[in-house]
Amino acid sequence: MDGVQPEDEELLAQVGRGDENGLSVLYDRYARVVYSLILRVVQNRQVSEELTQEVFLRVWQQASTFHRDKGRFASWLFGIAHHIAIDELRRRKARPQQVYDDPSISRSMLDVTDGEPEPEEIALGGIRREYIIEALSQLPENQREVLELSYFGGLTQSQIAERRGEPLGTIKTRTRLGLQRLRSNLLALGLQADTL
Amino acid sequence: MDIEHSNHEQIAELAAAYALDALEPDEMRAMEEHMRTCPSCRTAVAEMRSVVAMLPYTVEPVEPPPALKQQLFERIHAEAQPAPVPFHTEADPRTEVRQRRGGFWSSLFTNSRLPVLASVASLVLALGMGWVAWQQHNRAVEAESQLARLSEVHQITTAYQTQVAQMRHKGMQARLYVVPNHSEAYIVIAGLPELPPGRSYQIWLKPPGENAQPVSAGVFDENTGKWLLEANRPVNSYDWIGITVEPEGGSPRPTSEPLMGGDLN
Repeated sequence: MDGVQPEDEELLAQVGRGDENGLSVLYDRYARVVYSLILRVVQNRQVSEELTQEVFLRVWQQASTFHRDKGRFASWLFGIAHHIAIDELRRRKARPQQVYDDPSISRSMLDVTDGEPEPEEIALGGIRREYIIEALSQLPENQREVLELSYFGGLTQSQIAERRGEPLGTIKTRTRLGLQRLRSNLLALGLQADTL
Repeated sequence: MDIEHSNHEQIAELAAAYALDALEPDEMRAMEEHMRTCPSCRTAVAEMRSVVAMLPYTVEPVEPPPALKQQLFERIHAEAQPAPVPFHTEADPRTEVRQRRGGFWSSLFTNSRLPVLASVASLVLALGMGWVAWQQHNRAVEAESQLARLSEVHQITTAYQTQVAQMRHKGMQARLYVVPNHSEAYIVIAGLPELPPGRSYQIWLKPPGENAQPVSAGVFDENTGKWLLEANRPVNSYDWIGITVEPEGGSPRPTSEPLMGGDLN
């Protein structure tokens, strides 16, 4: 990482003291990943814009509640974004008459775009998106599938078991193995352990 | 439900599912409760979360609209407005009017709005305490109640289960923060049209059922602001929320079409 750039956690501490500039830098660094994640889950641009605002508003309101022992800032941020997106998805599924699907939005986890490192990649210690995609693609199909159905599809493990017609215990094991193997794949591809 | 585990694999399975938000809601809550006293699970969850945090990078990046950042900061500024005025939550407008008279009486003693305090008992207390002491007493009570309100707002806006209902119509905006099964909610409103003289805004919650009548959730006069809203039952159990313009002090039932409204479930 460029040593001149302040660490996320340092910026977050500034946000906790009411410094808007800290939030502005974090926004520039992460808004695109947050927006893309939410868009991937809810499949609607307008809703994604509102929810992205909501995520950073919560960062602003909750900055002082973050503790480093919970992990890195990015994990915390994406956790908030994911909760909010999944909540929206589950709420919408309870009202099937509303359809937001936008056909122009990518559904594939494995689309790769070449290019220069982006702000969030620099924040990630220079790791390239392609490496993470590579690490994911190395998972056995059935493990990658449960991760995708739960993380992007908003399904609980019970729902996945029901949909796949497989025992809940199998889905649980597959989820665990999927994340554990993804971790070791990332480390093998050169991601620093302290980034994880 | 209770979370139980007897070996490392079970801990890792729970942690993986939790980190992916893939537990059922009751399991999610049980896990959060369990983690408070289980360091092994906390560590396992932190480890799984850091791996899960890589998944967003696998999504094809899409730029958010440039205006979004400015809108975010505008909202932050809007929500940092002066102290919230608590909602009057009585459904009976006679109570509402009585409270407003109370507000008038209390305004003789302080500049702050403390409608509930201005009962006859308070007035007697004021006479007994003396002018300065009464002012100090009021400021302390106000500060304390403001702190309690802020604490409540913090709890509502930061709870894991918090859901946000958004209403937008013709330049008006409202965001309602609801914690499932809680009768208190937090609402931020901006851009309502100016009130004609002798009128108030009134918030309504409609209970489920075709023939159920909307109940008042509060009366206010400011076209922009934020309020803590208290209902008689969990806010998420209502079907609908809406805002109307009513005769000053509020009506027992809505007498005009809503300025805006939104579904709650």
